[in-house]
Amino acid sequence: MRSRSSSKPEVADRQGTAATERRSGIVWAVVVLALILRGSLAIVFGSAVVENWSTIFISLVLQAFPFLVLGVVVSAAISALVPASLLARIVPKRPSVAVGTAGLAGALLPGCECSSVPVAGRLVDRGVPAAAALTFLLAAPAINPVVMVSTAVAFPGRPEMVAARFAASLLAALVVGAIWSRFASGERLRSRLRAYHEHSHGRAFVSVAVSDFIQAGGFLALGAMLVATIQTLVPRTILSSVGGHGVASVATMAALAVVLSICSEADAFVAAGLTHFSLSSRLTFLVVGPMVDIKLVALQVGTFGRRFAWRFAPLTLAVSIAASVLVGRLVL
Amino acid sequence: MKDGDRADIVIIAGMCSLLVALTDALFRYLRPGMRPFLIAAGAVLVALGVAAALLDRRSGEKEASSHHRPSRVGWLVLAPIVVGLAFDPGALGSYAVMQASSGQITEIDFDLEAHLETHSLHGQIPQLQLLEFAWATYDREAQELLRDTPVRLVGFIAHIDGDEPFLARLQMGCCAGDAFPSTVRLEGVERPLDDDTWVEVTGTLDPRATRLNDDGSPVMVVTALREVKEPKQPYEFLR
Repeated sequence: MRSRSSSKPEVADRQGTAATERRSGIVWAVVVLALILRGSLAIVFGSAVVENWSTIFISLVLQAFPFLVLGVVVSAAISALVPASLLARIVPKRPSVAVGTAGLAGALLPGCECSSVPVAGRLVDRGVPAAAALTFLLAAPAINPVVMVSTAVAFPGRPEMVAARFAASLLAALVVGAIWSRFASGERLRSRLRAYHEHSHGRAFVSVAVSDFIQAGGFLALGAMLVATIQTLVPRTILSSVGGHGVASVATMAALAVVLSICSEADAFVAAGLTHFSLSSRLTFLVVGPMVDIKLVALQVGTFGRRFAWRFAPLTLAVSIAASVLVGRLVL
Repeated sequence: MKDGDRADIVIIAGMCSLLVALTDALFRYLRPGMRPFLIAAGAVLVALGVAAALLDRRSGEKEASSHHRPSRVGWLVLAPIVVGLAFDPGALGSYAVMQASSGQITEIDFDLEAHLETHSLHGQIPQLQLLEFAWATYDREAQELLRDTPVRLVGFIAHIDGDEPFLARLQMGCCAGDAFPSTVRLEGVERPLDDDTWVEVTGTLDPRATRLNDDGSPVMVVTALREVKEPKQPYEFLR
């Protein structure tokens, strides 16, 4: 148990030494360096290629920022202020109803993938049927309002993209929940989460929000860099042939979604940037991403164990690809 | 990553968002309508970062990492900041036009005749957006109108196919990340022009060639051309 430091001189003393331990100063050093080199870097490295890459990169990140910030703020508020016990009370106990309810509950709660896994873990700990918790885990990052709005903004004039994303993601979540409920309900799922000390609500909120933003922002930057590279450096002819071909484009988009691990509030803009790929293959990117990616699998291993992840991840991947192709064919 | 670094990154990200949102730099990357949202996001980030830094300072001891383990990918948030500050890249230009996927013509709901009438009241030559001119390639009535009525177009030069200059301008979907071009082949331009030179051309639609090669660009017979400054708003949008 950590006790609060109460004597003032002690705190003051710690603050003196702790100040240098708390930040490395790298951030400000990097920014100052960038400002100093401004202009001269452009002369040396500037070229049409570099400029094109940079503009696409920055544009995608900036466009996604408002949605990312909104999603992170709401998700942090929920995780800091709404206890899992409340959520557990809402979800009914009967498996079939629970799965459906959990799926639709996902539509209400904005949550980055990083928060849905711990929430699902806590739901399981409080007696919610595993299948329902897992359905929620899959649905919440994929169909919440922030994600839907960001998809609408990313594909202006194409509301069918929003509808398709919603339908395919919900379908995939429900199917996985149903399959799990049918074939794996016998085993008990337990999370490996330890109870952590609840700080004050305000402090918990700020801490979670900052952490989530940093991590999600990092993956967003990574994804935006990749799109900028693809759109700037890969010859157009190659892109058009891969992007146009059915199986190749779907497979590429699914692979990209798994590798990129972009937060679902922001991935629509990355998908919008991949203009050489068909709409339906980009739908696959949007449906697979929030459900299966490297970051998620790592989280799932940490929360539910390796054995679980071994079965859950491939199942989810297959179902989400199938759902997106099916819905894509019908709607897009 | 230390707690203090995280707060710093969030503050810097917020400040840079505000910087772009409050200046003309916004128009290079995003639709103008995004301005209030980017301002809000930037303000929230700065507030959050400052709060985190203050809370961090107030606690004398290191707080237990409460949420999840911070991973090193978070440092990448600095990447767009560094790139933006160091390179200050401009709006997309001829390079993007070359790289774009071909064959995208915007379907627009546009009353060309009314527009031409309204904008030629005082004997001026009406100006059209490139995407509107390009759309004329596929609309029979528009084609006839534009064969006879001279119009002005503003765009930048791009050499897409051989030595002949094309006039181009990019249209945004959601942001510069998905920009796609409208192009017009220019006929009757004698002097050599560099890529990415912004010009205003006056001319009519070439009656002979409405579809040329695979790019489907219309051809304009140019009667006048002058160089202009890059407009504050370099991209085009549907009206």
